[in-house]
Amino acid sequence: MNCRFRRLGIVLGGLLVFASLQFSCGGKSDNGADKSAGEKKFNAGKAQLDYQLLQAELKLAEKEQVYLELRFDLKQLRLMLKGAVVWSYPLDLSEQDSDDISDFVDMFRGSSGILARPLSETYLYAAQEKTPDSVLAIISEVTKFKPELLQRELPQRFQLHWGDNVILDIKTDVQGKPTSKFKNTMLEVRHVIQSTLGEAHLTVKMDATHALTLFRVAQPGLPTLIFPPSA
Amino acid sequence: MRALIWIGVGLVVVIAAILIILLKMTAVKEPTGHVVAVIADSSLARLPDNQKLAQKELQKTRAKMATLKPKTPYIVIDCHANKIFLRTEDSVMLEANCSTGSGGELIDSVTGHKWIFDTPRGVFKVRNKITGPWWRKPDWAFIEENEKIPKDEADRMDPNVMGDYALGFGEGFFIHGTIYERLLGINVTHGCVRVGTDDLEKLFKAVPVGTPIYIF
Repeated sequence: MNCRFRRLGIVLGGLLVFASLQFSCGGKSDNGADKSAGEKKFNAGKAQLDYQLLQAELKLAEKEQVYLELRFDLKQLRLMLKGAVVWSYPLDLSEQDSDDISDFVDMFRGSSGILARPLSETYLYAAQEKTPDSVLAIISEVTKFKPELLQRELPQRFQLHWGDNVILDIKTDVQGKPTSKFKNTMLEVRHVIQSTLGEAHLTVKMDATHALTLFRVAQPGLPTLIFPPSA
Repeated sequence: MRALIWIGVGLVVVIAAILIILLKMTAVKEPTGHVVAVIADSSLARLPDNQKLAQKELQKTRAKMATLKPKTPYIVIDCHANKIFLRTEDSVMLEANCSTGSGGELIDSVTGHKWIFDTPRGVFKVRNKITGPWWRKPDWAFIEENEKIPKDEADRMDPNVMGDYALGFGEGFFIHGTIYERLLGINVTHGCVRVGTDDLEKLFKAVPVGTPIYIF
């Protein structure tokens, strides 16, 4: 009799364990389904931002004019022409504080949610020494162009300003000379003063060729579109 | 005592004024053709509250943006760094040095006609592909050399300067070869885009007629 009860107990116990295992597995699977449904759920906030960014970009792409994209979502800087990428560079901000990045985005966007602004100022801190006139004279003799047309400044360090103390600092490995020690010092003083009042300042290291293009394209007025980091 | 305070205040005002002037001096501003207003959330349309309508509207706008983007690999000419690329949105398939327009001017002292040697900027496409191109020297090529403009068309033809291939992109502008490879990377041309022999061959073979060309 005892043996029969023991067997029944074992069978019932086994059934109980099996049922509980099934239940727990089923529970897990249901949770997974809920999660994936949740992920697919329409994110109204993100959709609204995407929609407005698309509209802003369509406005900029109407003209045959280059515009700059600060793609924090893709970690890229891009120059665009009619919606096509014509220049890109990784936006490596690994050495930056994450607060600096969010400050930059917040200050760029301001209280009215700005998505695109024109570049307000550029400042060249230091550049490679200009090609000696004697060398240019030889090239000029061959090409029959004025030597000054052949001159170029390969930037070592320059800044892009968008107003409201939003600044992107570009640094390269080019060996250069300061354009003006006095002006550079004054600008540093200005940054110190502004940083106490609130300044968004990011630094990007760039190779010389990419920096040259960006420096020459980045004239005041260059339309700039910001894509905030993905949530 | 009061006089000293006023002198102190005056000094502070003068120093502040000098500082403001100096800070203004540090900013470099150059007028350009860019005219763009600030674009803020408030100036843009919002998605409808209805989720289905919102999704539809978002899809429509994405499709509109997609029509602008090139569907095939495209050529990019960077006149600032004198580089030419064959690329897609995400990858660069070919990168080479090139030479683009110098921006120089030439004025014909007889007629007063003026030429500006710039590479045109904007969006173009490969209109024709030529193997073994000859250069038909325009008037400015003779004026520049202080030579008489020939009456015979054959005297304008030069088979030796455009390299092995040429890609025409309209109004007499070409991507072509050069005998001055040492000048690649410098803005020295009359508006055409010069590319080195090997890179030109790769580019020529890779792109069909109709390939978009973006020049900036």
